[in-house]
Amino acid sequence: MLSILRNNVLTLFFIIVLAISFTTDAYSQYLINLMLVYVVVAQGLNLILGFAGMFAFAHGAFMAIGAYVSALLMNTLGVPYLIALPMAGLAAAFVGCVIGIPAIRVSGLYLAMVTIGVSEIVQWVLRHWKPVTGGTDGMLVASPTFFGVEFSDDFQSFYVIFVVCALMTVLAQFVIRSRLGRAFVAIREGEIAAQSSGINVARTKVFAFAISAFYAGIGGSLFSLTQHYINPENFNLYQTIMQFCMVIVGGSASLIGPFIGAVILTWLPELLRNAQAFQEIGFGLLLIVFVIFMPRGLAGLLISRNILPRERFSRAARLRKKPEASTSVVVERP
Amino acid sequence: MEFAFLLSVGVSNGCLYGLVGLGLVLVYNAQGIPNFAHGEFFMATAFAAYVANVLLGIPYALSVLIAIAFGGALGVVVEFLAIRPISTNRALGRASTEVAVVLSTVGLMITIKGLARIPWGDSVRKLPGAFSTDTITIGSLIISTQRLLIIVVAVALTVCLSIFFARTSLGKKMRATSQNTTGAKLIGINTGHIYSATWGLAAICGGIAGILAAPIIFLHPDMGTRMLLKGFAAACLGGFGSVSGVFVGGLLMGIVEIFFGRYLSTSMMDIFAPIIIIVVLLFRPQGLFGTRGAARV
Amino acid sequence: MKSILASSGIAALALAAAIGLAPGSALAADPGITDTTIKIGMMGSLTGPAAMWGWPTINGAKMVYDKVNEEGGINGRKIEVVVEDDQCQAPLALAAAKKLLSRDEVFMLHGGSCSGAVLPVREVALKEKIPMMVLVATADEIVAQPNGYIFRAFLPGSYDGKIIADFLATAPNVKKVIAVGNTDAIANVRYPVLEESLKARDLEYLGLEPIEVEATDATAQVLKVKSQNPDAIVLVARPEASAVFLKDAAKLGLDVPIVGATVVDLQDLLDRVGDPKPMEHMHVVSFYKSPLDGEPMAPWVDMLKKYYPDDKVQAAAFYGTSGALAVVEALKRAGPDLTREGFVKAMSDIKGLDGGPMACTLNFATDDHEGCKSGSVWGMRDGKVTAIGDSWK
Repeated sequence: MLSILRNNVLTLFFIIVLAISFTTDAYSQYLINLMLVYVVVAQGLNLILGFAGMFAFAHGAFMAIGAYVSALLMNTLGVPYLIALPMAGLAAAFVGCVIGIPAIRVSGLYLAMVTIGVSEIVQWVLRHWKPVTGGTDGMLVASPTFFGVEFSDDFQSFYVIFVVCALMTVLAQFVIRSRLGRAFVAIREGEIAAQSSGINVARTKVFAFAISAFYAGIGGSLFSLTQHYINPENFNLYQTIMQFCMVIVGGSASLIGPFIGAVILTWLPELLRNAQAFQEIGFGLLLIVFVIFMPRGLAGLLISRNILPRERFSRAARLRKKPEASTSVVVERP
Repeated sequence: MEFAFLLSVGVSNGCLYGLVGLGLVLVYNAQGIPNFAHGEFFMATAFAAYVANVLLGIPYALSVLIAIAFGGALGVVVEFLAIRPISTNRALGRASTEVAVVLSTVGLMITIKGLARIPWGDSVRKLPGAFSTDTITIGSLIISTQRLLIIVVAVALTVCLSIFFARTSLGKKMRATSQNTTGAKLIGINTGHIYSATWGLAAICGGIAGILAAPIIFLHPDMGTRMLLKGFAAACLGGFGSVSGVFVGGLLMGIVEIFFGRYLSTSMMDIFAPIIIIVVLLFRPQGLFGTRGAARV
Repeated sequence: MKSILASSGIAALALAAAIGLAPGSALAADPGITDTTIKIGMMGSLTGPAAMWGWPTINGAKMVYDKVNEEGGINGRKIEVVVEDDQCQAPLALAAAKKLLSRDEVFMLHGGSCSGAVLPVREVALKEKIPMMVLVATADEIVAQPNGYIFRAFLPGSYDGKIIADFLATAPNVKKVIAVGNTDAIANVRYPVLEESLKARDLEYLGLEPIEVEATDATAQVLKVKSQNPDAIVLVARPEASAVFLKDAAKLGLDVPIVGATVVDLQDLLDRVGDPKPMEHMHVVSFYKSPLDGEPMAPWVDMLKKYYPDDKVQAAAFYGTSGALAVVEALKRAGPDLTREGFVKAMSDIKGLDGGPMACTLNFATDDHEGCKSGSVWGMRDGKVTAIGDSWK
């Protein structure tokens, strides 16, 4: 019985979240919603950062695109949320591609810089394209309506967010275990080796950008449901850094990592509400301590202690990639 | 007249960007990473000068020296505590190491800013300039003395650093390490010391920029953030390759920015730096002056 | 066994520890009121980049509540304040508001430092019918009608545009006016009203010259402004950028009257610039009756020194004071049988209440919750910060 639970921690997570939602107050419900939104975004970032090893720093901007697209579709065109949500994801994925196609020419530092530049420009457009985005005033977001029922409060929007988060989790598992997911890991371990084993590196990188941005776009749209109001400041560099923290603290290149990261980074600041001076510093120190002492994050720690089961894809990937990884080191450091 | 004035301001802004970019290039050449905490060296050193000069009443020149020493020490300590444990961790692959080091600098950025905010987050403070007279007049051109100082210091520092890397033994070792870490180790260079020196030097460059800029832009914990982006843009233009390249990159950026603002659009000045970064990195990643081989991708 | 147990409980522990138990819903009249206490939830940016709008403004409001408590409370009830941090970020502000409402079960909210963070909270307050007094957020939409529950007791963002236009219309030889300013949320709310009011006063509006919030240099802006030959400048920039602009304007000989919006304080600006020369032409619309060292401000400065001796006596310290004064007055008027609806009604009935440190008198109505609509223009006269009033002198 317990081993079944151990092997289905994510299922357990969703069951517990659902169970809690029946007994909790608006405050906790709001935080649970926010946490599930961050789970979606962090899974997307984990795909590109953790699995594909690409330093994309633009997830705040992708979230913004998702949030604004779905809000505009609903507010001005009256599009139902069931259509606006995937559109939000697709719009972000499209922008991801547009950025991704030229950006794959650079890597490492340069990719980080280019994507930071892109997110600054997205911020600027959101602030200055007043007729459409409302500029710095931001805009109200209509509540979604399903079958004539308006889902307006935290308890109602929970069901939307919950279902979407679960679907996105299934999709992430599928992607990571697919051929594409293995190609991501291969590229991370060494582009030249990946290429020589028949992977189209450029195409895979654009896919990584697009899928990752799709997650951020969906997350951004869900985020707007928790806030009912969006403005450009919601999606600044701080938001992106927070997503990075979630992936790193939770454990990059792990399926369960984004969940652990999102839980901790949503709840820890709330638990530390009384330790104000610690808020900002604690956030920074957490990041440093984790990259130094636990580079594989909490998921890595729990797996190495055998508390969590080893994740299936990672064993496969490791066995597969070991020889290539070692050659890649030789190739990269002549 | 207007042209000369704009040029003088553009040059002094550009020198500031160049100084900030210089520190970024030093760290990048040593370890191949963007140092997001660099803006915090800029801020912390300026605050150190403030503490020494304004709070403790130490004479200005001495305060500046103390602040620069503090900045250098901060760079060394930060490298030792938050960067070295990661870069020497053999369990990580190279890609993961770089990701981890960069995120560590992001963590440092947040932490140092947060620390500064505890005593100084409540309002904006002022650091006096180096001279008691604010402006001097050359012909019909009015130049602020602080801006003149910025230009002089930036040029002097760039020349000194160029000589340092070309002539001194430490400078040569630093270059050797950045070109080939393993090789440098093999010929007996203590790369750990080299990294300490690099970070110390980088922090000093950022810190000097901070002390110079503080009388113009005021002291607050977020003052380094914007400069960081401008410094990155300068370094990209210069190609992350050489000391003089960054200086010219910064200069170009300062001059173009101010003429762009004056004659085209001031509202676009906000995104001038990111546009430069994107355009340069996508179309000429080696920078305006670098050669392709120099880019460490 | 142990590890398996731990594993199955990981998510459960993480969540359960954090969430705790939901409090049982009290079926009493309205939350936050006992026979001896009234609980008020305050929110502000206690940490983060906007921290200078946090504790200083909160303490400036809290001191009014402290004084009331010392004098025995209101109708036998003492005010109990719970302060939460919103870091000027919308997600955290919402969390803070929801915590105050569902955990601390406060009677009302008094808070919000940044408009972007307060606007989502506005939706919650209106939906849940919670009375709310805005602390320092200036966006007009926060208090705009329809709105049954949210009040504000200081000059809102856009209103200084009219004051500036009226003031400049009385200045000698002013025909053409140009605006220089930031393009962030705080500044943007002001331009439309400014333009409209200038036109209503038959002044020509030459448009806006943007300047970055963190500008290190305003040479381009000053030269551009100069080339358009305005008779006066309206400066809608935060203190850092304003100081940079003034210094460069003085250096380049731009010597027309400048009027600043309420985003800066004249004394604070003078301290920053540190040199009276660039300040010669500067005027600022101020919330307050007089400069901080003036007589009308003395009781408030003394009150701050008494209750918060460690706080710096600065302009930001008294932005929230008038709001607290209005809350106290409304609580008094609402009487011993205090309810949220009764409080809102009492607040709407307040007319002609002295604004404390604020230059205005507070007038609320059922369909108008902006209590304070006037300010005073200050300028440098004989090298001193002087309250000039509403017309040029």
